[in-house]
Parts: sequence; C-alpha cells; structure tokens
Amino acid sequence: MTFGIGKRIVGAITWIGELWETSLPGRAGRLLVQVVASPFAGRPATARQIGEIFLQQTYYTAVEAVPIIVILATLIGGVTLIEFATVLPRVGNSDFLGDVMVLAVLRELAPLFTAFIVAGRTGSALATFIGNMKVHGEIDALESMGIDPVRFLVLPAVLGCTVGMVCLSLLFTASALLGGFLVAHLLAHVFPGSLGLDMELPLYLEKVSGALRLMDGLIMVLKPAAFGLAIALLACMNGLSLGISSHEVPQGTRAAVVQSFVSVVAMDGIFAAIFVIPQLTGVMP
Amino acid sequence: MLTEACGLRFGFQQEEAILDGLDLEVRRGDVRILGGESGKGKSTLMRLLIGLEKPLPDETGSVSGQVFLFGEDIWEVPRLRVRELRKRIGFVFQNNALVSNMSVLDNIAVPMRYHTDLPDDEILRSARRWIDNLLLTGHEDKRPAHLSLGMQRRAAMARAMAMSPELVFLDEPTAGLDAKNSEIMLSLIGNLRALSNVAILMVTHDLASAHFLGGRIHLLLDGRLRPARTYEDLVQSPDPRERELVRDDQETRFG
Repeated sequence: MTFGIGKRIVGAITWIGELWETSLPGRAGRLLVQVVASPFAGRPATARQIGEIFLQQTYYTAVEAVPIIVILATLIGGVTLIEFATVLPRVGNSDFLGDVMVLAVLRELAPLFTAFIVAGRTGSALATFIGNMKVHGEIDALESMGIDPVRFLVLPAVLGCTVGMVCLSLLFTASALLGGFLVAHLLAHVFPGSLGLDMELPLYLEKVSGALRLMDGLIMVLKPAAFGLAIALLACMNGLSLGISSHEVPQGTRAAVVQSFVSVVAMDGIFAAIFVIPQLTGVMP
Repeated sequence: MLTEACGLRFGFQQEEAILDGLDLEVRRGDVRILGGESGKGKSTLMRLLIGLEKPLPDETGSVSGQVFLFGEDIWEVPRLRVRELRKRIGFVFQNNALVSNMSVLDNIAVPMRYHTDLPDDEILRSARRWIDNLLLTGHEDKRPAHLSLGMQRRAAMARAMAMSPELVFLDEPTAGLDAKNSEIMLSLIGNLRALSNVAILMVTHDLASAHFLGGRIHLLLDGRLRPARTYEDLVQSPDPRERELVRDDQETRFG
C-alpha cells in the first residue's frame, strides 16, 4: 500500500518534470542555464570570443532603434501627460502629476513599449539570423570546429540585447517625460485654456524628480533587463530549435515574437506582484 | 587510430535503419573514400563520426554501436570533451556552411580566434596563408554569398585546415563543380595532403578521384561498408552492383 503511494508520487513528480522540460519556461530556463554556464565551460571565455557579436547586438538593439524609440516615447509621453493634466484637476489632485507620470511612464509604459519594439525588431531579426544559420548548417559547422554555439552566438546576443534593452528603456523614459512635456506644452499654447497643463518645465521636472523613489530606480533597470533577457533567449531558442528546412525560419521567427510579447506581459504581472502589491498592502515602503 | 565506428546503427526512424552494424577505421595518414548510392547514409555516417548525429538506441535504450574519435568514445565522454576532440579535425560540408555574415578571412580565422590565445595579427597572417594556398587571394574580404561555388568550397577547405587538423572529413568536395573546378579542388586536396600528411575521409560520387589521391574506396551497400578496394578492383568487380556504381561514376565524369 505504502509502496504503491510512493510509486504514484514518484510518477507524478516525473510527469511534472517532463512537462516542465517541454514547456516554454522550462526550455527557455534550460537555455538560460547553458548561457550562464557557457563562459566557464572549458577555457574561460575571452572578450575576443564574445566581444564582436556583443557590440554588434548592442548596436543593432539600442543605437539603430533610437529614432523610433524617441518618436514613439515623445508621442506617448505627450498623450499621457495631456490625459493626466486634464483629468487630475477635475478630481482636485493636480499635485500628483509627477507621481502619476513616474508611475505610468517609468514603471509601465517605458519597459513595455520598449520591449514590444525590441521584440519586433531585435527578437525577430535574431530568431531569423540564428534560424537561417541552423537550417543552412552553419551551427553544425561551428560544432564541427569544436565551437560552442551557445558561447559563440547566444551569450553575446543575450548580453547585447539585455544591455541594449536597458539603454533603450532609459531613453524612452527620458524622451517620454521631457518630449512629452514639450508636446503637451506646445498644445497648451496652441489651445490656451483647453488643457489643464499650465506649469512650466522647471516645476514639472521638480514634480517628477520629487516623485522618484529608490524602488523606481530599481524597476527602471531590472524590468527592461529581464524583458531583454527573455526576448533574446526566446529568439535564440526558437532559432536553434529549427530543423533543416528553410520554410521553418518564418515559423520560428513568428513563434519568437509572439512568445516574447506574451512573456513580457506575464513578467510585467510578476514584477507588479513583487514590487507594487507589497506597497499597496503596506508590506514595502 | 583517428576515428573508428563499431556496429553503428542509424536511421531516421527505428524500423528503417540506413546504417546497420557498420564498422570503419581511419588511421593516421589514411585516405579513405566512401562511395555508394545517393541517400544511403554516406554523409550521415560522416556526421555520426563527429557526433553531429546520434546512433539509434539499442534494446537497452543506449546508443547502438560505438564511435571513437582519437580513441575516445564520443557518446561516453562529456560534450565538452567532444568539442576538445573536434579541434583536431576539419570538416568540409557539402553546402560549405560558411558563416554567411562573415568575410572569407573571418570565416577562416574563427576557429583560431575561438580556440587559441594567438594575437589577432598572427591569426590573420595564418588565415591569409590559407587564402593564398587555396587560390582565394583577392577574395578575402568578400562574404560567402559573393563567391562562386568553387571558391566557397575552397574557403570551407581553408577553414577546415586552419587548425592544422590530423583528420579531414570531406563531404562531396567536388559536387556541383564543373570539370575544371573539380580538378582544381582535387589537386588542392592532393597538395594539402602532401604538405601535412593529414588523413582524409571523403564522401564522393567521383570514385576515380581515389586514383588521384592514392586512396582506397569503401562502398556503402545495404547499410554496411564493403572492404576497401582500389578503383581498378571495383571496375572489374564480380558484383554487378559494385560495377554499376563505378559505371555511374564514369558516366557522371565523362557524360
């Protein structure tokens, strides 16, 4: 009897383990472990091994996306500021403009919108690049030379995408807060009295900086870093999992982008559970 | 022994083994040529020998047969060790498999940059030497897509030779090339062999190239390798299937 129950428990644990192994988080987690271990497997990784692809990836993720991020952030920042500046006086809370802008832009809009742009640009490009390498036998060629594709390709791509994502999210935040103010201010001059935005830049900046807390600084870096890591891992994972047929490449790219979008939103929920809910309940200051 | 396969069994599905109990040995300085019908597992055998494909499981669930690379069973030793062993081989793939976003020079330098601490100028000097040896001078900064098939094949050959391997696997090195480029390729392989005495395991339909390289031919028939023979022996073989393969080869070469 006891033996039978034990066997069932072992069976259930094995089943859960197998389910985890084949699930999306399980596969991405396995690749993450390989990425983390790869610099220390065998001869320690050198800057020469990973430097070039890391710089390329950072450049592609961050520098080339600067115009689209600045434009998008300015527009979104402007719209958000106008909405809040219009609504807050109605409820008699104009003093909280800085707080709501920090909360909305820095904590949510910047990491999320940047992640969507990075998933669409970098994630799709990375999945296509690695997928093409896989179907054309270039990954096998690296293996045949004793080169670890995870150390040679995935590690620098993941590092580059993560660093690039953090830089872009910071740029988005700055552009949304400043550019947004300029857009809203311009509109307030064009339509005087129609918008509740009647403060000057120094006062606005004072309100925003006064609303910033240490937790915001943490979130500003941790969230985009986690999103960038997930996007790069999913792109590489989908690229590496392709077979030998070219028609699989677009399928892998599509899967990488969709999985990135879903993962980013899910991770955003997890971040909210970790950082926001404890504040609401008074557990965290 | 550089590489050895014992009782190797492989198939894309369990019930359809294309290699069935195959044995092969390649010793230092050997030139072995693998011939046989298309789609019967010659290229797959090469991939199995360096661990890019896994043999079918036996009744106990472990891999059937053994593959030794430089005396070590590649399915028994850790993956990291297999990568160490692969530093001592070169592999030219049928589709060349050059890294498409790198120049020819960088493709050749990749294994040296990854595996050695040599200064970059020394690595580039060595890569340029291979470029000269393989008649690619003037094309070192081009991407693979901008090269002809023959040039791509020679660039793949240069990359395979960059780490001064003890054994080179050549998968159809003359496939898709015209007669002149095939001759150049075989002549370059012959020169490299004369320079370094590297052992060669080559899959080809051009069985007469065995003449040129002084190697012996194994025919892959019914999932197993026939004993090594010279080209002349095969031409006069009493087995009609062996004669047929040589006849196909002659027709391919001479139309």
